[in-house]
Amino acid sequence: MTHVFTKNWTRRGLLAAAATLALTLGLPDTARAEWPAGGLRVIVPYGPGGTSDNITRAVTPKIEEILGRNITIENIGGGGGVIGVTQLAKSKPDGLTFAMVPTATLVIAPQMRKLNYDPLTDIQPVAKIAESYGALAMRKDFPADNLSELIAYAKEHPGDITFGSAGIGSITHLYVEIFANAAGIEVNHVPFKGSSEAMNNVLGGHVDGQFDAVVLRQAQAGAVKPIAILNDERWEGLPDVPTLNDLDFKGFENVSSWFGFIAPEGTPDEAVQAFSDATRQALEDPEVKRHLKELGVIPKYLPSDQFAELIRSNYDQYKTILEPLGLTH
Amino acid sequence: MEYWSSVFAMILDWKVLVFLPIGVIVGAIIGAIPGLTITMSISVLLPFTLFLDPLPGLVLIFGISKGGLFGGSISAILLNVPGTPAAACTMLDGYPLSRKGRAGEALDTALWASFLGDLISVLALILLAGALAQLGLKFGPVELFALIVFSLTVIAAISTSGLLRGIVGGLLGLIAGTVGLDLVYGSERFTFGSANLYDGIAFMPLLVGLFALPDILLYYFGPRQARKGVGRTAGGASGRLSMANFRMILPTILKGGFIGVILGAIPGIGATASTFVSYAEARRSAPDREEFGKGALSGVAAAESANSGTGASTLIPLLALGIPGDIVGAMLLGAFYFHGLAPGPLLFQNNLDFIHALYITLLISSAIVLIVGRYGTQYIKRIVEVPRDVLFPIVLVLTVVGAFAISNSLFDVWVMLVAGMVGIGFRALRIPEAAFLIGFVLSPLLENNLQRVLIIGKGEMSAFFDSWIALVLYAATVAAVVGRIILPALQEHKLKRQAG
Repeated sequence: MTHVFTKNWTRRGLLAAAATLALTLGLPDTARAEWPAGGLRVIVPYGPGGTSDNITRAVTPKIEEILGRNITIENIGGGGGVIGVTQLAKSKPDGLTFAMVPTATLVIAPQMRKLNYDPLTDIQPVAKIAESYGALAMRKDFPADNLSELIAYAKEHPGDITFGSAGIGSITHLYVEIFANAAGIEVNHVPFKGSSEAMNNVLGGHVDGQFDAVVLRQAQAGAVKPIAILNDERWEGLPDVPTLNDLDFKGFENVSSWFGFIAPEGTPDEAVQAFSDATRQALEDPEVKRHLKELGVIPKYLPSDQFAELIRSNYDQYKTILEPLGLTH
Repeated sequence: MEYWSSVFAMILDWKVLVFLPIGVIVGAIIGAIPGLTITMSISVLLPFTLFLDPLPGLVLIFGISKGGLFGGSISAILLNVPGTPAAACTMLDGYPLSRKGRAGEALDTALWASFLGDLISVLALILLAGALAQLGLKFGPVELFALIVFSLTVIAAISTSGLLRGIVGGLLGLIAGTVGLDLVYGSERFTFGSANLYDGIAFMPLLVGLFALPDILLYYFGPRQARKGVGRTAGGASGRLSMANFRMILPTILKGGFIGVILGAIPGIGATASTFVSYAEARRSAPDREEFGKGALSGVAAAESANSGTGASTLIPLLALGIPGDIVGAMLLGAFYFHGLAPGPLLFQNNLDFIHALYITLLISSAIVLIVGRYGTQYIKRIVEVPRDVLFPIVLVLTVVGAFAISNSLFDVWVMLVAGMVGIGFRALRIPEAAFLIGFVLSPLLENNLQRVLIIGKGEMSAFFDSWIALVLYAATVAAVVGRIILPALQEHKLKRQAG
């Protein structure tokens, strides 16, 4: 599903634009040649209404204001996000085209299928914006109450525990496999179409557990049994639930469900830096922070080079998970 | 007293009273135009609603989605082009009715079925939210698998040109439904290396190509005989649904409404698949069952009551459990959180006044659908009186633009054209397109749940019988196969022997 959404100029945006224009006119010719003036395009590789789309719509108004440039959001859905990313990779690297992408499109999908872009050579990472919460929860009547009991149970009943996920090759699927590897246990992965469907099946007792953000509110309401938080910090809604770090469980150090801005390889540094800085500033805005929190994500900025490092390390780590499962192309 | 006055103060806000009808009207228009989707329009409006108080914002969204569920039927009935995926089933009998000059009756039927289905849905939400949420949770992979197997028996019923052709059509649909990435291994199937097919064949372009294009192409390029058949509509569109016919379709509407309510409360099924389950049931029990596929009012009633029946019940998992049932639900969840309201059991404790205000506005919106539909269709139905030479070029442009606009994808236009060729082939071989359509819609649900049952049950056959809901559905399937296929075949055989 695709749709173009043009933001109207706000008064502040106009002022900022005027200011930037004045500045730009004062700069030497070379700088102007590197990052052409004009509106920016941000590709969201999914239809409107998903998390990637919501995050984009939450931060771009502020980025528009800071950069003084108009931003058009373009939803290019399909192919589980790869069609939009392919479009970005094929776009002219002039600094006018960016995309907002989640983890799977860069570090999972390209390993599973032969795609028309290589995430390590065709993409210029711009800024990591946010992370989703992640938690492990089991159905209410599951015969284990904490991580050590869960692992002990799994060792006694190899292959019996079923974990639902949002789909094959989703980050929630990788969580299951990474966990099983790290704990040295054998589990049964059951893919669903999306987190909600998987959640429904945990609540109904059709599968035993799930690694996902959606379990948090359910755990809060007492409908499922929370085992651990996957993020570095505990979740304020459930302060008693430990993180995997607290439990000294290794294997999830760099693993998270993140969202970030990317551009085509070859995009002028000036554009990458400016967009990245604007993102960082936007994330400091209290209103943007609040909006992101309501969307269930944690604002977590990383600049271009560190974001690139994260992508590479995730890519390598997930390769070691996907290969033995026979899921790489 | 004070409590209710605060509830009514929320409802009597001018924004609520203005946005409700606006939402329904906008939804009906968007629903009627293929290529503009309800999800798309809601996501565009969502940021705007966040600046409103919670109730007016949500009311606008509900209005659009309700109006859209009805609006989709208008173009399905009049043009054989469904405005929304959920109206695909409406087309199967709606358009034949239109061709017979009974467009007015078909639209009335769709309207009353939408109104009553919606009303049942809202009442179910108000009275039974908790119980229905629990029932929805009971539907795991085994139960869904059994439900889909039952729904597939409808293929036998709509195969007007012989069972064998129906089964061929259904199987082709099931196969076409497997295109895309496999659920368990993520392997590519029939994608020919194109990412455009990862998510499967796009539904709307396929639908439009299969149903609407053949008429148009045959009209211009077909043999003279075919052209004659396509070009004429018998009579006008002035007819209205008679009281006698209303009484005839009422049981179907009520049943369809309840089917929609129950299936809507289960995340992952959706309005489109619900219409086919309802259609299967109506084909078994409706008085005009022999007319199905050729222009049965009950067919339209079954489809429209079921898709509107899902309207409010998709809110049940959202409100009662905090789980969004579909993409609109997911957007609503975001809107709720933004306003500091957390859907789930706590919402009923902490914000009961808001819930009550929401219920009342939902009831009002049902009535608005009826009023808007009643007056709106007065004029729009005259479209069938437009000469084909004027109408078909417009429809052709509409279908091409519509196929393109859904994903801004030229690929989808090709999908539509290929589907149009396939549709002409089907007509030549008298394979019912409807059987193909049902196979296609149900294929992913059937296959994915089959795979899940096998994974969870570690390949044991007993896993398929591990649920009383599934056993009941299997029994219904056996009854349908015996009653619809085996007994009639035996009877025919006997008659032939007597004659011979």
